[in-house]
Amino acid sequence: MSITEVITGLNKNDASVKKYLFETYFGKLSAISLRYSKSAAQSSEVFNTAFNACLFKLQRQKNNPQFDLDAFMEKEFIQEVVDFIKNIRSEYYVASTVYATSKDNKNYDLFEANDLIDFNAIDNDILVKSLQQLVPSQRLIFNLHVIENYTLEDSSLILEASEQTAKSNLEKARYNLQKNIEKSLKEQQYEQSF
Amino acid sequence: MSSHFNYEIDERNLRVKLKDMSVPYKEEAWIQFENYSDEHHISQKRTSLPAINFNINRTLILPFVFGGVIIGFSLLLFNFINIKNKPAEALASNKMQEEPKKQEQATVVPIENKIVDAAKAIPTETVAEIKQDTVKPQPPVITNTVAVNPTTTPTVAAITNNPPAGTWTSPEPLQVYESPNIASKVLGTAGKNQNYTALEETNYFIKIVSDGKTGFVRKHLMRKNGQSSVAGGSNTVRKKPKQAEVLESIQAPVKISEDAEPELK
Repeated sequence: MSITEVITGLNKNDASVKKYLFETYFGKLSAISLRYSKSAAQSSEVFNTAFNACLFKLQRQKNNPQFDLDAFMEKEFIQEVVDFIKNIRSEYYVASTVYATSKDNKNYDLFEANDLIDFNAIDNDILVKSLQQLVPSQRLIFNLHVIENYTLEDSSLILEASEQTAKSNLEKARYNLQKNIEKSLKEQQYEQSF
Repeated sequence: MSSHFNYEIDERNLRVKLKDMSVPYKEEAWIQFENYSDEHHISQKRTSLPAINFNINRTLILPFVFGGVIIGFSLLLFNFINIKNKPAEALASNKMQEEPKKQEQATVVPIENKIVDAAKAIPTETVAEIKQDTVKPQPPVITNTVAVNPTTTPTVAAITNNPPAGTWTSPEPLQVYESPNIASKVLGTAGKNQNYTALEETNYFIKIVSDGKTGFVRKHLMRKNGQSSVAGGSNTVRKKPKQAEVLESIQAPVKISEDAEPELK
């Protein structure tokens, strides 16, 4: 389906065009929403909201044969997801503070031997779970900078925060992510032992 | 935290893994999205006009508020300056108005005198006719003063600012100054108990002719003929000097005679 047909179909509110787009982009965009959300339930909500907004934005696009639909959908989807997560004020500001000063972080054993853990051969499920356990501000900056490969400057602009804040959150996110992965692996090993 | 912490996650590998991650398609998800989309559907008609996103927030409002405050204060300041200048303008306009009045009064006096003389010579019955004849060519201000009974001639003199000059006696020898200013040059001395005719009077000085020289003597030291004490005596209440008079006395230039200058050798 060409971009012209997609835009025309969206303007006519054609369900078949919507379903085509949904089927095409669900897998990739749903994975993105999983990374940015704190849980599967929130991921579903985020996906619906962000994907709907993307369709509205696509509807407004002019018919351009060189239009890159994949890049447009991914970029706009990420932007919408970030806005959605940021707009949950109670989580974005309050929860992050509480989580950052929790006792678990402070009691982290720095001299614990991590030699047996191969961080580069971990399942995606554990990685996503560990990411979801991060506080929203850290999760967002980690996703934007590390996974989406945005620069710190661009990430801070998207998050509407200063570059220093973004950098600080990124360092915390790295630290907490590694800790979460270790935790998740240990839990998994513990479950498998029975 | 960072000094002892070894970050062991390879971010490139992580990026590749998570970027390539995909969730399998579920029909349930589509139904869920369809319901959501129906609930939140917004029909947007395309227009030829460009879309303008105009968000009213603090970054927009605050500059306007500050601008308004600054303009307000500027206007207030401007008005204050105007208020301060108003009295000076009013004084200037009053002076401008007074000058023509003085000129009119100056023209009144001789006419009044003529009328008064005529009224003395002619019986009272014919005075009215004469008045009408003489008054006709004059401006309306004069007719008002002329319409008074001839017996009221002293009131005509009272209209003028300077009363007619009288004779004054100096109870003591007084210094005669060149100008109405005690700092000015002394022309001579007015003799004791001599009568002088006042050519001109100010609040503090009288212009007289002494020994063929015209000069000014201090008024409060002189006695007007017909009065028991001197002008500035204990019986009369001494008025507070007006600012104009003070200025008059200050502004008069002090002449330094060339003879007085010491010769440089």
